[in-house]
Amino acid sequence: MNELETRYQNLPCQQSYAKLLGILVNLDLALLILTFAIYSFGLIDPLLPIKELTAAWGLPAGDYIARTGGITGWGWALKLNYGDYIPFIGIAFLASNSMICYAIAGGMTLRRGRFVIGFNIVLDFAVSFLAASDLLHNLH
Amino acid sequence: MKLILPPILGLLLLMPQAVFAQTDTNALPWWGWAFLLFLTSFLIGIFGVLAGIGGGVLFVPLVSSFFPFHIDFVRGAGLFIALSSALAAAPGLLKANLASIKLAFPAGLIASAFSLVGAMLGLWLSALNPGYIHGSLGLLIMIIVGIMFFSKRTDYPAVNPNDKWAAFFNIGGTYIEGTTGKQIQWTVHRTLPGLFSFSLVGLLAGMFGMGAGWANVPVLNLIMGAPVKVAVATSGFILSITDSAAWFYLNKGAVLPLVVVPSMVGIILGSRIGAKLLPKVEPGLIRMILMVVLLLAGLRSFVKAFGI
Repeated sequence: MNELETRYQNLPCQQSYAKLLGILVNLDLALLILTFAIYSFGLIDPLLPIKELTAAWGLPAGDYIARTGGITGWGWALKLNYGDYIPFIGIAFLASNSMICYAIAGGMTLRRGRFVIGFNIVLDFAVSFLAASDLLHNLH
Repeated sequence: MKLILPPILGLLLLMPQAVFAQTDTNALPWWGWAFLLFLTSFLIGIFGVLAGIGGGVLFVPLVSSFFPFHIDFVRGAGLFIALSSALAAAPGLLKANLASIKLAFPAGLIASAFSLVGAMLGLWLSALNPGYIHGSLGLLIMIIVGIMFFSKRTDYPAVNPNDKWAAFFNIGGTYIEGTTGKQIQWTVHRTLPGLFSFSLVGLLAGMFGMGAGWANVPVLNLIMGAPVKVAVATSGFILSITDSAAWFYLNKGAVLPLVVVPSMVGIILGSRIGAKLLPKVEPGLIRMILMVVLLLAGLRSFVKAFGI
């Protein structure tokens, strides 16, 4: 098979990526609705009363954090005993979907010897991982 | 079509008065704003799919102009809106081989890295003066409307298959054209300038919290020569892997669940209904109406920069 013919072939991992992402997106929707219901129906008390939240949501993010004692980075994960931090489970899970798929697709392509696209996927994973870590926030 | 026009016309009738209206936090209880966000995102989800416009590009100017939240939180929500609607659409597009992993990952890597720079720049500028962001967002939206109005897409661009970077990245693929049942083989050219363009696309997406389908499609179709269906589908898939700026806003505390979650649920459900309605409506008319809505939202954002 010449180079152009291999170019016209779709990657076999594309179908696995699609199946996995389909499952993750349905999980996202369920988690978002469930965690937001816990918060909005007041099933668990919030750290910041909604009245104070609405009074501050017109402020820039930095001023909002300073005024409400809000949390940045992954600090929310330590506050899951408060209702207003529970929806972050669904939000962070949705933002992690692609990284989960990268790990699977990257492994599959590298195992099959497709090093250019495999390395590309690894780099995509690294950029997302860097953004998800608190490192850039601390540098900014 | 009869079911779709009344809400669009209602939205259009409200827009001119809303352009110069001031938003008041106390005008509604918190759940009223959450419900309005859900409804707005739901409609954006439907019409965005019908018009082929990404959700984020409609969400940010509309919500930053007519809701009481600071633009930092609207941009944070806009990035999650773009991400969630792209994630919802991606599995179907990948299964049909319309979206291509081989084309999306090199472009997505550059867009994702530059969207981080854009996010930093955007938050820094709005901390200096939110008017900078409102004004430049308004201008950008008006430019986007211009691009949408004037750009002509090519179904099957003629491509020189000897591009060495397309060969290096092995970019190409095959899909079945639904209308004819024919197998279409495609590749790209001008790969380097095309990929380079994604740095600007990523920068703007991160800075303004919008998806960048309006820019992705012309780059993929007009510069790189991907067939229009591949360009539209891969553009959506690129948005799903450009998640870095969303993480950055989340880590900076610029994501409020009360704003983000109703918007994401609304857009995911709306996009699914939009996809089902797609074969039954005339996309040209919807696209034209939404361009008017976008133009008014851009104008509102622009005048907000001057405190009006």
